[in-house]
Amino acid sequence: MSLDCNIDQSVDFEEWGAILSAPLQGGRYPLSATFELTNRCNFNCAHCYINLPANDEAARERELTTEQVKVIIDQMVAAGVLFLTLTGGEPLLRPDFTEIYTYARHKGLLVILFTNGALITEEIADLLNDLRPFSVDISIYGASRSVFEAVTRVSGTFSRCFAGIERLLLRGIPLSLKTELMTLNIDEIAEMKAFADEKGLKFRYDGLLWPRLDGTGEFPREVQLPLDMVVDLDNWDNERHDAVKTEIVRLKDLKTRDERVFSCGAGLRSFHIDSEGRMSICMMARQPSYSLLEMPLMEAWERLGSLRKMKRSVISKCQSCTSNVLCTHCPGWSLAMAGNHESVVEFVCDHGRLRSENGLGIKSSKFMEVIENYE
Amino acid sequence: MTDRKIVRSNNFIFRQIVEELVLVPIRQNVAELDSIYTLNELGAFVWGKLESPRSYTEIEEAILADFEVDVETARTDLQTFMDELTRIGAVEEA
Repeated sequence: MSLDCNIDQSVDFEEWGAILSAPLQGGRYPLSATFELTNRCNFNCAHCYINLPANDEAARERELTTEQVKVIIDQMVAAGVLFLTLTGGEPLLRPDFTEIYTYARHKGLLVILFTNGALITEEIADLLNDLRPFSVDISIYGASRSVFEAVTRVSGTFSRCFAGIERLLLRGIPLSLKTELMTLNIDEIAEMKAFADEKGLKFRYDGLLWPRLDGTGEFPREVQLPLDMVVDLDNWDNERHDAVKTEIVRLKDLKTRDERVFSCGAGLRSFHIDSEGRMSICMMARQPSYSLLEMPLMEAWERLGSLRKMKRSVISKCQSCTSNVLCTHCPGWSLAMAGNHESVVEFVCDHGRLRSENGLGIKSSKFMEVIENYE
Repeated sequence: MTDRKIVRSNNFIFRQIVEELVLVPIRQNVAELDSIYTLNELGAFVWGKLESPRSYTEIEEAILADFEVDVETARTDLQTFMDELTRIGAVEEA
């Protein structure tokens, strides 16, 4: 499972979000949620930030029950949530997935499904055909079996994933592909993109892996691409160029020099719920979190609102940084790697600096206009 | 105007999101819709009536009872609204 932050929004729901949230004028509203139905996965990816073995009984027992999930969905609907991303782990591992998905759709939630595709059987494809998701996002890890399974470390995953993709394509179900690039699969980026193009599918990729979010602070350094290669991905194709431009426009007002700890959009229109029912401001920044088994969703939402007002308490180089236009450092990184909201993670700082420098070097009139405004 | 009974289909769910009353598609790809369908107060009133099968005449009478509008306007607006709901598959003959 790869992770999506605002930087690579998974689906094109900006139009709906923009229209519906226009009256809010910057106020908070829980329009979208990400919901991890399980941390368990049938893959064992080299880079994953969250996965546990599919047969991890202890993890399974900690997961929310079907009824608990439904109660949370009811609370989401009452709160006004429209977009629900079901993710994991591998959400299709849950035997009650069909029941949960059907329940969410019949409640009027627009569901985005993040999956590795390997468990998209004929039955699941028929379910998605009958009750259409907003989108299915499938992570592919290579264009060849050997590379794909070098990442997933489970035999048979390549053919099962692509069989799942074909089942969705046959039914015309909204689908996009994505990949996390790493040392194991970077050589097949062109083939993966060509596959997506051939099928008429969106394809997005990222090369900055995530740390484990289980409190261990572990980072998959052995498969992380060198930062210069990650940054060079921004130069790889025109779509990426355009994405960089969009990012600069979006981020030019969201400076890390902002005195708030959360200067991004976390907790403004969205929130995250983990497999045990803990609600947090976003998928990566999981502390503080509030158990929805112990308090109503809207109370947790209100409490998370105070995080958005939290001011920086530590003077760091971020405040004086002038090359942060494409910086992706955030409190989530600090929490995962250092256990607090503000520590600078040097590796991510370096990435932001290099990416910003590279971005500023891309010549186009629109780009230069934006930079002038920014400066 | 006809007296055939019309009822909501199960293709849409009606929800209030922020300040809008939105018809959320259930059985169609969102991208296949040509717009986001939001209902005003009158539209929401009619949608509420369509929870059970109603004829145009019944709905029209209900509108005239609850809203300050003349018969011709109510009839024309209702026809336009029902045509659109029919076109997108939000209602069907009972």
